[in-house]
Amino acid sequence: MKERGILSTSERRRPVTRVVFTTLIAAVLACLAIAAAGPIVWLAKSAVSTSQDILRDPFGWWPGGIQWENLAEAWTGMDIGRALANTLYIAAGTWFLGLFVALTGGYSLAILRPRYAKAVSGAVMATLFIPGVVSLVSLYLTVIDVPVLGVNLINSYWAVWLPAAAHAFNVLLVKNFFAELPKEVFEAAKVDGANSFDVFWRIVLPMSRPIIAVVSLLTLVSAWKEFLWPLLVLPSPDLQPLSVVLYKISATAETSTLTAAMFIAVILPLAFFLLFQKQFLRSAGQAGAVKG
Amino acid sequence: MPRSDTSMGAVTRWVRHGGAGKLLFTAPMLIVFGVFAWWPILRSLVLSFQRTNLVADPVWVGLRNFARVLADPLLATAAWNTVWFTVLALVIGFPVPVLLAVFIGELRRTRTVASVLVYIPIIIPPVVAVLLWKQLFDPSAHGLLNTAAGWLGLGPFPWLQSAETAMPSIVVQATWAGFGTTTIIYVAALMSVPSELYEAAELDGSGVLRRVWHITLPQLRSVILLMLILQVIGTFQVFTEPYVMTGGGPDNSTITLLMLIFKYAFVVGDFGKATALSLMLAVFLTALSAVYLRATRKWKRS
Amino acid sequence: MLHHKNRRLARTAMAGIVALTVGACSPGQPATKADQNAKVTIHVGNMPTKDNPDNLALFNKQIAAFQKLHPNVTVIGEETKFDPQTFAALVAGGSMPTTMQVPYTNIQQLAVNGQVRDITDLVKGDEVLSRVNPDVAKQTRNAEGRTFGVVTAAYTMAFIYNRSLYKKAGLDPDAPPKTWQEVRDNAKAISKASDAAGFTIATTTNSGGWILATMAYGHGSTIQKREGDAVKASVNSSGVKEALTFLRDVRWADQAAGENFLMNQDDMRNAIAAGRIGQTVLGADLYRDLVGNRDMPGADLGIAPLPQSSTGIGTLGGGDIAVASPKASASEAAAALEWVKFRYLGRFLNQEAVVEWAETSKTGGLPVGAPEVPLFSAEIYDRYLKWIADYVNVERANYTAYFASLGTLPILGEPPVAAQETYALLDAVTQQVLTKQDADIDAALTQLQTDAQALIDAAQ
Repeated sequence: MKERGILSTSERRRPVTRVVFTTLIAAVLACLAIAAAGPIVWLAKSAVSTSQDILRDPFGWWPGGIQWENLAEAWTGMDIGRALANTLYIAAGTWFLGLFVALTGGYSLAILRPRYAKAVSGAVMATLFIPGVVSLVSLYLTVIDVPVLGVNLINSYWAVWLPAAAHAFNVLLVKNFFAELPKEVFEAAKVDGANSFDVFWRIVLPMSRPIIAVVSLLTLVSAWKEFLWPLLVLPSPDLQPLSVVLYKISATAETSTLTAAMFIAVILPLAFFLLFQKQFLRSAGQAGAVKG
Repeated sequence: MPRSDTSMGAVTRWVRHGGAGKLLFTAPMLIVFGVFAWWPILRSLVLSFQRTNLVADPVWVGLRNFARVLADPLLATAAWNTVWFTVLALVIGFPVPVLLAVFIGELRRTRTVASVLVYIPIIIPPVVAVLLWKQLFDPSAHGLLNTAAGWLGLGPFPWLQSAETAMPSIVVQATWAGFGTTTIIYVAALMSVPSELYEAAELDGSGVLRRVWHITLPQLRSVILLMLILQVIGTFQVFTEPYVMTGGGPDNSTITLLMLIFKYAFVVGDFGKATALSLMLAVFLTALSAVYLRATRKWKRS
Repeated sequence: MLHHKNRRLARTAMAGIVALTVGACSPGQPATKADQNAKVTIHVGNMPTKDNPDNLALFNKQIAAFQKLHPNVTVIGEETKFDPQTFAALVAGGSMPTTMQVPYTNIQQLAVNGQVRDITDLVKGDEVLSRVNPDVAKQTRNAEGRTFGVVTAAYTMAFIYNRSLYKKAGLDPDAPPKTWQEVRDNAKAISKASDAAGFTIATTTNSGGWILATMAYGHGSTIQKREGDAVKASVNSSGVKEALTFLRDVRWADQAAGENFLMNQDDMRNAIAAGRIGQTVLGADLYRDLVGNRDMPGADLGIAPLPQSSTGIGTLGGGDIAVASPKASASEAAAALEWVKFRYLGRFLNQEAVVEWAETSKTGGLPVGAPEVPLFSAEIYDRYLKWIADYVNVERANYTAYFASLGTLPILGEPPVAAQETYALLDAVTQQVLTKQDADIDAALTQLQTDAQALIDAAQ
């Protein structure tokens, strides 16, 4: 953590500031808790409620009794476990490929700067401004018959991973971050005879932790949110991620079972995320150290 | 064979100067973007001048697809709805993350709690979020939000069930689902604000709000400016929320441009018309971005 | 129209283990003769999802039995089912299974678009298919007489009501309404006696237009008319106007339409199963889905003929048509046709198979004897009913009026041109009258007439 933010340590000790600031913290946290965690708490409650209670008495605490069997029904009946595993697999691949492309690409555009960098950079950034749906159909056709290779990626996770790696925003974030790094370090390394791989591996990557953390988070989250695309390219139910499975099941499932499934779909990643969260904060904290 | 010697020499020189290394680092990006971004865009461009359902042989129709899009009575409705969504989404969704990020940047012991809370909506799969909010938006008097509104002596509101309130309701859900992502980016950017600036400002005797206004926000300026235009571009492409929550209703009050594109392509199977509208939207957004970047260039530097 | 994903449930069961033997007996070989021994792999859609383990097991058993009968054919099941939202991509992308089912509503447009295979040569002279009820079979042909599929299930649009809510409201569940005025009165009574919606309809993903068209038939008008060779929109007609006025009155004057006016068909089915809908209009085939799949007590589900005004002209027919992928080869399509006959049609023709299916279904809690439109002649259907008599677990007496109407109430077809697009257009107006108190129906219909005609002109 940085030594100070907008408020200095001595200011924080001042009684008036302290009271005002503490009150503000309490108020904002309360609002955040209601807005962000409230729906989840309600989901948790509803996951073990009867359908009638969910619809008729949303604030009641189980007037119809606690229905633990909802959870078992959702887990076994809907194969949520496999869907979760698929989701994680999709997220992991998207994360790795996305990070790989963003780091190497950002390094090239911001530090190596080949002659064609400007053109490539422009072409990459242009995709930021083009609505995704422009290429939805033709992307689908591309995935079915990949140019040059001629392979069909339908029902393969590559069909999700590869298009997701073409994510200009990640490249932009990394590029901007690299552009801010002190150039003298690279120049010095070059003088010492280091080639571009050495510079990338030994100097740039160790300095990139904060941006890796941010890009990782963004990539994982967007992989997690993928819905329409996996629905189109993964028609086999054995491969489908949670979002697709839930969507399909929502059409027929009873309110109580569906709510239980939604809760399972939220609670496991939530637990995973809380662990991941600490690491994120630590690496974000190190950002300050690197800068300082 | 002097020619080959020269070209060999050129290649060697290129490699020695790191040309090969540079290309190697650029290659993953070139390949991935080439195959999965640029190529499909070009292909769409071609499609927009054809009449095709991708089964029968395509027929070149010139600009007729564009004319057919412009003749669609739903186009004006969808365009208006999209603009309305964007305006609402910015009014709520733009300031909240900035203020929240500045606030979180100041937290010490409660920082983790606040961050966790902010992130919670992000990790909820969108399908769950939408289904959950659909439930919260239950229009009956015993619906969850209406019960809560009842405690304040308000409502019951029809939420998604009326042409007037449907879009604002969707914006609430979209903002809820989206504010965390933006907040993270701002919090990360705040890390790079040098604390000496605050030190100096404090010595000058400026108060907290002045520091926020004169140091924090200006330091965040370039990120904020970028996020703003990206947010506009993103909200212009809103699809999932209205698609799942209202299907564009009631009475087309939440049908958006992207839903119209989707409808042309996948419901009607008219890919030429769909790509024509996509291109029109893309050109508009690109022009908007260009104007925006130009207009803000000065402000960014100052 | 739309995807009736759950009908597959009972249908799977119907075709059941038993149908295994039937395939052998169905002699529809001529068209496939040439390729009969060619090794083919076919992908078949509409496989039951994992949340229906009983049906899935039956489906897999059927595949095994079919492959035994046709050792040269490998069958791979896929969950793919018709979704108007992605069907075009499915076909274009080559991931459409060799065969899958599409609704009546879509078949004509798919045929025009070349998105389904012309199977005229394959069905020619087929013994089983030649016995299919001609009124049903004609749904699979275009104006030139080319055939594009095989009907696997048929039903009519019907009046759906909740018998237990009827009792609660002091109404007689055995005397369903015959006129729309009675429907309105009953809606008032139901919404007074319970917090269920007295009468409402599904309004999104083209259901609104589909049901409005049905209600227009019940009020005396179609939404498209043939004039010589051309098809003209007739949206601005008295029947449509009366249907919309009826919806408006129930919603605003009587406050008897509930609170949710943006339901798609699945939402509606869930709501009916949960007892939150007093009366609505939907396909009569929903018994199997609601009772077998969504756990509605069968005794609560009322199905009656579509009420008719004094000028009413009948009801809309619906159903599923098995089609073949336009990319399927002749031998693949022929194998797929055999599969379709085996799985969906066999149940009417072989006693042993039918009995075994009925037994399995009954044990598994799936309905036997639910309302449907017979695919074959009345004699074949009656024989089938006799075969299953001991296993019927549906209170068929509750549906006497519906069964009687099948012979008398005219069954009308879908609008012939751009049906789904027209339905999509009409969704908005059903939503408008249900969510906007001062909706101007006349103005809306004038505009819709123009827009509907434009859709027809663009499609023809």
